[in-house]
Amino acid sequence: MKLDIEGLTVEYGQVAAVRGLNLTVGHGELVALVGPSGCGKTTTLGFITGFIRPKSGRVLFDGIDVTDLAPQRRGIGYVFQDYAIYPHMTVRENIRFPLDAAKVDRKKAERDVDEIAGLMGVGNLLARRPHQLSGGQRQRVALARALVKKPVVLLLDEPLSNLDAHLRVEVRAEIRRLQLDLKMTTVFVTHDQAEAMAIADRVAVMNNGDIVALTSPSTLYSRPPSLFAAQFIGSPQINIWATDGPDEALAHRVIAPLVRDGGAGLLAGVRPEHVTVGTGDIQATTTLTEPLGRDFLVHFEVGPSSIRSLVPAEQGALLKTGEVVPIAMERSHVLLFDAATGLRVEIDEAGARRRDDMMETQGGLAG
Amino acid sequence: MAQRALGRATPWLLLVLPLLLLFLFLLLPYLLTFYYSTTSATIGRLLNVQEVGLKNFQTVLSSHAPPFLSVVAITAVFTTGTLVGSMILGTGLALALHTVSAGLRSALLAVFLIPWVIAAVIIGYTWRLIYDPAIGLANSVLEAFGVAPVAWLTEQASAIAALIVANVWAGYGIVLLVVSGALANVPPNIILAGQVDGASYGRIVRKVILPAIRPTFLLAGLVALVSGLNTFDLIYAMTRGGPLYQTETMALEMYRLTAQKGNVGQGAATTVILFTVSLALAVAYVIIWRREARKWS
Amino acid sequence: MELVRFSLGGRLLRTLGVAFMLAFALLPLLWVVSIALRPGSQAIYPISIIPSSVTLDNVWGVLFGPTGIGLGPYRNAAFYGLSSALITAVASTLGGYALARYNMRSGEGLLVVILALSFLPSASRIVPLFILFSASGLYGTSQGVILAYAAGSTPLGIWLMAGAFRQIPVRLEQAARIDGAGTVLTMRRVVLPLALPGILVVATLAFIDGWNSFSLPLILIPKDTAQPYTVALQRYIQEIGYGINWPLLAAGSLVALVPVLTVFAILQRRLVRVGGLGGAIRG
Repeated sequence: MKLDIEGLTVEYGQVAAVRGLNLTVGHGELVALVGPSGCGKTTTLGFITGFIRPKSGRVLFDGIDVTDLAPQRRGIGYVFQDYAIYPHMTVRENIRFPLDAAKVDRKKAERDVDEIAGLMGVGNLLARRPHQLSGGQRQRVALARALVKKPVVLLLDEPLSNLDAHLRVEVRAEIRRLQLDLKMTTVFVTHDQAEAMAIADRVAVMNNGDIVALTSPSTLYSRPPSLFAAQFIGSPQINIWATDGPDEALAHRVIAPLVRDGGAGLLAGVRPEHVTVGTGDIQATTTLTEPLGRDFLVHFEVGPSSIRSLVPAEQGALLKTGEVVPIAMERSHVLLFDAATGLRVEIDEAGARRRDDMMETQGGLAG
Repeated sequence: MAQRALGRATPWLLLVLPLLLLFLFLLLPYLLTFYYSTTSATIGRLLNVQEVGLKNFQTVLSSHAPPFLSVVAITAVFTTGTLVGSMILGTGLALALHTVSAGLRSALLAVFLIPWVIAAVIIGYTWRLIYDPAIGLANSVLEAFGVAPVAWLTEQASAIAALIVANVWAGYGIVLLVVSGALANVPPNIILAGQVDGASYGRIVRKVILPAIRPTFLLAGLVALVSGLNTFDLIYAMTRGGPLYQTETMALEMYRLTAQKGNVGQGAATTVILFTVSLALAVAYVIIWRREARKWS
Repeated sequence: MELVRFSLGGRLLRTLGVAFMLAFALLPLLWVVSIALRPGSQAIYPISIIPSSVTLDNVWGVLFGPTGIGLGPYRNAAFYGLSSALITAVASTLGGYALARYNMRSGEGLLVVILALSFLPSASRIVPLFILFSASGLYGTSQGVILAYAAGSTPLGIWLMAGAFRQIPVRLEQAARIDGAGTVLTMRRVVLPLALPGILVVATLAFIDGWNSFSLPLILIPKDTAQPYTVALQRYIQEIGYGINWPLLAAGSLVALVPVLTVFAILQRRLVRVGGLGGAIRG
């Protein structure tokens, strides 16, 4: 099912939680809505479900306006952050509830429950009650309940936030596999950018009530449309140096090879993983090394500027605080942003022309 | 320092005052009631009384004016009516208010709780006024609809009905209060989940909300039930148990035997019977509640 | 965001239901006010719902007139109510603190027993209290009656205060002690101020119970001049002769409603919050 949101504006008193938001999710596509707390992603989900009455806006399922339709009639599968499974019912009754509400014949309902429970791996838990289940198990039950009615769209509100870290990676892969198998149109809300990047077909980065970036994960990573998107995606966070201010010197050194006119009014950005240590023409002083396991996060200083660098553990282990080492930043990995607008700036081969990147708003996997 | 010993004794030290108060003025009188139910005490002769065993109970149970069975029946009807009425109204209102905005809910809740704080006697006088055949509101309303006036408090059936209505008016507030509190603690997400799952509000109430507040709901029922059994002031003010014992509940009978007939022993026996019924119901509740609690943990 | 999204029909039903209940809850009171405030001549059959003229004669009559009950009964009720509230507050705070803070073996059981006590028919205390009072010389005294009232309000009071104290983290008291405060100072400056809302609720409920009490003073206060309005207003019903003196009875009721409704209006938010506490407790 194709999902469209047009012109959504939601206000709470004087504050606009969502302003003029447009989004299309193609059939079978998984779009991740990601952004900092308060950016409006859960509100958007609430609107799609029908619990939030907007100041303006429409939502369409396969082109049909369902904005005024009661939540009960929309055929949505929703997984809440706290799972919201009925505490006093058994797992079986929980999963069967949507079918009971639709007055499905009991025998058929039970078969459907068994089927989805098997798929979700909770077949052996059907007689238990929620308080007897672990967090991960509850989440599967919530998913099973959402899917048992073969919904037209699956909405997930931070489904992994309450899980332990290692479980999160495992479960998100399961959700993605499931979603692909079922070709389920899905909107996945999260505040964790890594999660969003890992499983989405397209990522919608939200800030202050609107979508500021909407594109595939790889594009978002390598060609982020704005400073905000660049800083939000990728961990450790991208290094940013401004051409006016304390980082002036470093910024100019990085930008100079790229732009003809010296780069006034620009911001230079290089991701820590693209700062290589060992060779290069910048002499940097090591100020702190953080062992992260596979990598080391090393903090450098060049003049007044700080540089974060991600290096393989073998290399990082050898660095000592205070040591001066050469570092390099490959020009193809340098991202440039307009300091005034925050938009990314593309420099062509000639080195002078600046071309503003366009943000994709149209949906579909083909795009 | 004798901190340890003092530490263990401290709670009991603190409790001396309240426990003494409760013992002397609450527990002791009840215990005395039990004692007096087996004696031949009268208002005129309270000390140096004779033990008469269970004779008082016999007399009370086989009483003819009014017949004890009739007293029991009236009490049962009145109490059941009060229970059903206050539970339906209180719970219905709580559910309705649960779905409105917080501001409106507080305001409405405050208004709906007003009857709860009014003296039972005043409520009795008020409803007696309403049911007055000549100038009462009830008959005025009937007249407005072209129905003949009813002699409310002088016919048994209408009198008991009138009493139930008045007592429900007095008592739905506590049910409303308690159930509202319980509803506020139902995680909102399961109610949202219910709607997303396609359930109508009625189904959500039946299958999601009420089961979630079951222990408290039952507690409210118990409170309403016991308070119905113990209702005295209201009935006294409205009908005094009349006419001719036709609205005489056990509580009133207890008063009549003690204060009017002066037979303390029999009054006490009636109290013991009433108390036993209340206790039995409370025990039944605890049993049911424990079974529920086991289901949850 | 609304918790439940109703259809138009659902909303209508809800509005009608609430409106009907509103009428049910308020009409009786408005009727009393209506009868109390209309001239005596209008209080005879047939009667209209809204009086054609309003007068304070009845109110004046019940308070100051020759056939009135005077201010005395109201003063008595206030005195009994306030005194009972004070004693109940003290007893409940002590008891509630003891049960909340100390892990006594019989702690939970005691709480249940105390609460069970409030389930018993209060009217059945009357005669034994009568006997006890006669034997101890407390019969007819205001102290006796006040203590009897207080004992009736204390079980619930202890339960509520125990709940209130449980909500105050022990850490705060421990911190105060670490800061060098003695027990008295800790109580005075840390614990009691935080428990004040609970104490207010307990005192209010005790006052309301005392103000509204009828069956106890009916038997335990023989002297006319010491009786509260609940008992004094009876005379309008018992008066032999034709019919009940409704205007004065209604006026007397109206006067009785004013203090309790005022107190309720001021403290209703707190009361509701605490009542909600009762609903939140599953055990």
